[in-house]
Amino acid sequence: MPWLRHLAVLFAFVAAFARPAPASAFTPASPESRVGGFEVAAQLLVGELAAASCEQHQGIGAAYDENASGYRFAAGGGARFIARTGGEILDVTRIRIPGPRNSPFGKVDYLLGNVGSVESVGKGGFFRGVLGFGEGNLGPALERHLIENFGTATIEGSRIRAVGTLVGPGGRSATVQSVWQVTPEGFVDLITAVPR
Amino acid sequence: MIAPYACRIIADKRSVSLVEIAASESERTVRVVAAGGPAWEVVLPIWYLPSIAILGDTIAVWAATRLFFLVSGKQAVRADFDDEVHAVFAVDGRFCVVGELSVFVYDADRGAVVDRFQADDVLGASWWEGGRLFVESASGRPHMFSPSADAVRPMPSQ
Repeated sequence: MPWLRHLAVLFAFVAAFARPAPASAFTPASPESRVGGFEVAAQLLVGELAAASCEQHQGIGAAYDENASGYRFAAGGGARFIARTGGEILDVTRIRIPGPRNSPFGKVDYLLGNVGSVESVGKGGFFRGVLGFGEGNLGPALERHLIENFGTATIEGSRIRAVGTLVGPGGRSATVQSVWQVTPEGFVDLITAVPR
Repeated sequence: MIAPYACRIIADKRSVSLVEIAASESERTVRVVAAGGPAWEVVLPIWYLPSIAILGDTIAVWAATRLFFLVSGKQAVRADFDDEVHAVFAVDGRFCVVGELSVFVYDADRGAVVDRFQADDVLGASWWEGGRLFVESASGRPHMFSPSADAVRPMPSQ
């Protein structure tokens, strides 16, 4: 019975993900770091994974993507969850690019040079000027950047730093570090991105 | 054609000039000259224009995540960080670096971060009032610090 074999594989994955991650991954980096934020999120995501397992187990065998830096599995053709060997799971539906909060500008504006500051202008020279991104395509590209590089990302407390190639709409590419924060609610919010 | 980068900074009767002498797709070589004194050549990421701080005997030059400390009679000391550098200040013989996501005390002699404050979101401009360092935060309320050679010492917000 093929479905039984797939179910067993799923349980093995869940068991692997549910085990405690190394303590260093959750060590607060500073007084302001959210203590254990990623741990909370990881447990939350594991819970969601378990709840979603009924609809996912039929596709899990085929959903392993050896070209990705992590293990991907999802219902149908999508890849909702990405797991690292350390046990952390990324739910790609929880990734967010924050819009305006305390100013008229959101993260994409900041990275494209729309904010009137030295820092934003410098970012814009790179993301808009060099790579050719605009308001409509930088956010999705950075989401993909995290997904594609989650397997090798550095996780400190609730902060994720992913390093990898970012390809602009015109085909020009550069190595970029994207920085993300896991919120207490379990979302993964873009903080910034930096050329490396 | 875009002219090569060049600028001159004057602070407290000291004059420092930066002139781009070579550039590739990703890096810019800059000659830094302290008028009447020494000169250095440093290689910086080309994405951002160079920034400069004149800190007593030390000149700090940076772009993006790469920072150089230039001291008369010594070779340039290079430091690369995870964070983009926004500002560099001298504090009790060491340096207080304001980065995009953190504020830290850096020992250039040992090449080590002595203490670091990690912010929740991106930081902006920074300035001093008396012995307190203020750093703009994304929340709109500035962070306050009382840095020393050994610690960043964040202070409660007002």
